Amino acid sequence: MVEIARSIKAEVILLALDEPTSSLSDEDANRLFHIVGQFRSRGAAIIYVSHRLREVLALADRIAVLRDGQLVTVQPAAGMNEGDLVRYMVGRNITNLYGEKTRRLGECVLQVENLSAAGVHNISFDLHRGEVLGFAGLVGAGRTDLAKALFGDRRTTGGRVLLKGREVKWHEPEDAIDQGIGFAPEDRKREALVLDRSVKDNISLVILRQISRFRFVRRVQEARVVNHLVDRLRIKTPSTQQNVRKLSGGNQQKVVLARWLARDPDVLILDEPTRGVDVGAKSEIYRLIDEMAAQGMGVIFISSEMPEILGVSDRILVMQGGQITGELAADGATEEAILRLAMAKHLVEEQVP
Amino acid sequence: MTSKEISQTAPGAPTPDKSGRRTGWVRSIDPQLLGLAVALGILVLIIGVQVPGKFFRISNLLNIGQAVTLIGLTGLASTVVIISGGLDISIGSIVGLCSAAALAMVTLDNAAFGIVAAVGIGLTAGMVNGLLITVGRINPVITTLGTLSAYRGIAWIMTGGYAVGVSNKAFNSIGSSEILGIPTPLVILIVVAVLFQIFLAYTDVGRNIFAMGGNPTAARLAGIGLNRYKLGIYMLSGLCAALAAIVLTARTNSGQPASGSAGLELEAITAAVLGGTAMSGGVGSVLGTMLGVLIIGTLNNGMILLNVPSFYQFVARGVLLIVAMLIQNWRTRGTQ
Repeated sequence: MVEIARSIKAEVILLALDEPTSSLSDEDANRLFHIVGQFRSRGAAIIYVSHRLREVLALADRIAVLRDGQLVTVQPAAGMNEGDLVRYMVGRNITNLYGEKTRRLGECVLQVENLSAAGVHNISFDLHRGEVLGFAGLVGAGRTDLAKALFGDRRTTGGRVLLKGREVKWHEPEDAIDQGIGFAPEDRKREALVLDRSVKDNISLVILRQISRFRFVRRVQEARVVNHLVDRLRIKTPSTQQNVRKLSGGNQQKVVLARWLARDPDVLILDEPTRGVDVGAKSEIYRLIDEMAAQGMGVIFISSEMPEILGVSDRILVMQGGQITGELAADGATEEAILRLAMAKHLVEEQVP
Repeated sequence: MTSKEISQTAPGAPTPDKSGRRTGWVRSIDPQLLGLAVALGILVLIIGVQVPGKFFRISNLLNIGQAVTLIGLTGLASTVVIISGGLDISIGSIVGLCSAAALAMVTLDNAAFGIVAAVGIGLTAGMVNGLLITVGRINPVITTLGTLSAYRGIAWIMTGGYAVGVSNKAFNSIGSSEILGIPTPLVILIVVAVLFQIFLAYTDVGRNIFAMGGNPTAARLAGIGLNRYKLGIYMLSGLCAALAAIVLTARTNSGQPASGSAGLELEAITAAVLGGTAMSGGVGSVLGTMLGVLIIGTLNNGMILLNVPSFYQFVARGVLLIVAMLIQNWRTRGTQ
C-alpha cells in the first residue's frame, strides 16, 4: 500500500501495477480499486497485472492475455467473461476445470483415532488408497496443525495413528517420510523450496538417499528421474539447472509436487497446493492430484477455495477450531453446506440467546 | 600466475551471472571465481614487482604453501559450517587445544599417540559445540564464542602457558618431510580439499548440507535430520582443526596453545567469505575457498617480505574480511 501511495504523489501518466492485491486484505483492495479509478478519470493509462480474473474483468477496459511469454489476445473487457479468459489462458476449452475423476478406492491406508496435538483436538478419520480427502474450513481452523501433526513436525498429545494397519509414532518429519507420508506445505517458498538451488536439486531432495549407492548420488539415475518429471508435469524451465527462485509460482508448486511424485508415498498431504497459482497451472495440479490418487496414494487435500475442494475431493471433512465439525460426500455437497459446518460453532452460539 | 593469464581472464570477470551457477564445481567456474583469480594475480604482481628477488624464489613459494595449510584446513571446515547455516569461531582455539594435547602424548615418545590425541580432542571439542547448538539450542556464534575462550584456557592450563618443544622425529617429519617434492602439510591440504569437494558435490550428505543452509525449514520438512547433521558438521570442523594442529605442532616442533593458532578463525572465515561462501548459508564452494586461502597466504607473505609492522598486519586482516563481506553484499544485491 505504501509503495502504491508513493507513486500517487507524482503526476502519473502511466501506472503499472503487478499483482497489487496479492498481499492486500479485501478492504484495502477495494480502496485500491477506488484509487485506480481516480487515476483513470484523471487521464492516466494503467497497466494492471493480476491472476484474479474477477478483478481484471471489473477494472479493465481492455484485457491482454499472455501465455508462456506470448501475447495471446487483446480484447475489450466488455465482451468477455471468466470462462473466455480461462480458455485463452489455458489455450484450450476447459469444460471441467477439475477433469474427470477416475477414482477407485483401495484398502484403508491411514486411520487416525482421537488425535490431539497443539491446535487440534480429538480428530478421527480414515483415508483409503486412491482417495482424495478434502479438508475444508476457514483460515485458522487447525488444518495445517493437523497436517504437521500427521507429518511428525508437531508433537501429538493424544490418540493414535495407524499407517497401513500399523500404529506409528514419529518425532521428526524424517520418520514420517521413511514410513511413507509426504507433505507439501502451504507456504512453498518458506517451507518447501530451497530457492537458490536448482530445479533438479529441489526435485531430488527427498529421494537422494534412495538413489545413492555408498552415499554417492547416482547422477545418471537422478537426471533420468528429474527429466521425466519435468516433462510429465510440464514444468516450464530453461533447464533443470535453473534456480527455482526464477520460476513462476505455478512452476514452483509443480517442482514441489514432482518431488513427492518421485518419492511416491502412501499418503500425501497437500496444504493449499493451488495458492497463488494461475488458472492454467491450477487445472494441471488438479489433474496431477487425480493421477496421484490413481497411482494408489491416499491424498489429503487442504484448501480454502470452496469450488476446488468440491471439484477435486471424494469426501470432505470440515474443520473449525481444531476439531472436525462434519463430513460431506463430495457429490451433492455445496459451498453453503461446507460454510455452515465451517462456522458451526458460531451458528450454534448465535442460536443460544 | 602470470600476467598473460590475467589478460585472458580479465574480460570474463564482469560478465553477468549465468543461470545454474553454484551448482556443481564444473559450472561454478564462474565470474566470481575468475574475479578471485584476477585478484590473486594482481596481488602477486604488486608484491612481485616490489620484491621480485624474494617473492618468486622457490623456497618462498613453498613457504606460502606451508603457511596456507593451516588457513586452508580451517577455511575448508568453515566453508562447510557456513554452507550449513552455522558458524564456528572456536576453530582456532580447537587447533591450540589439539596442539597441546598432541604435545602431551608425543612426550611419551610415540607419534601415533600424538595424532590420536589431537584427533580425539578435536572431535570431542566439535561435539561439545554441536551438542550446545542442537540440544542446548544456543546460537552458534554465541556457543563458539564461549568455547573459543574456554578451549583456549584449557590449552593454557595443559601446557602451563609455555610452548614446549617436541622431540619425536617421526612426528616432526610430518611438518618437515616432502612427498614428490611437495611439503607434506601441503599434500595433506590438497588431499583434504579434494575429499571435501567430492563430499559436497557428489554425496547425498553434502547435497543435504547445501539444502539445510539454503532453507532449514524446507530441509527439515524434506526429511533431513537437522540436529544430526549439525552435530556431524561441528565434529568435522573439530577434526579439521585437529589435522591443522598436527601440522602446526610438527612443523614448529612445539605445542602451541596460542601463538600459532590465535586469529586463525578470522583467516578461516575470511577465506570462506572471499571464496563466495554466503554467510546466510546454502552457497559456497571448495574451489572458491581455496582461492581465498591463496589470497590470504600471499597477502600475509607479502606483508612480511615488505616489512609491514605486525600491528598494521592485524588491521589489514580485519579490513580484508570486511571488504570480502562488502563485495558479497554488493554481489547478492545485484542478483535479486
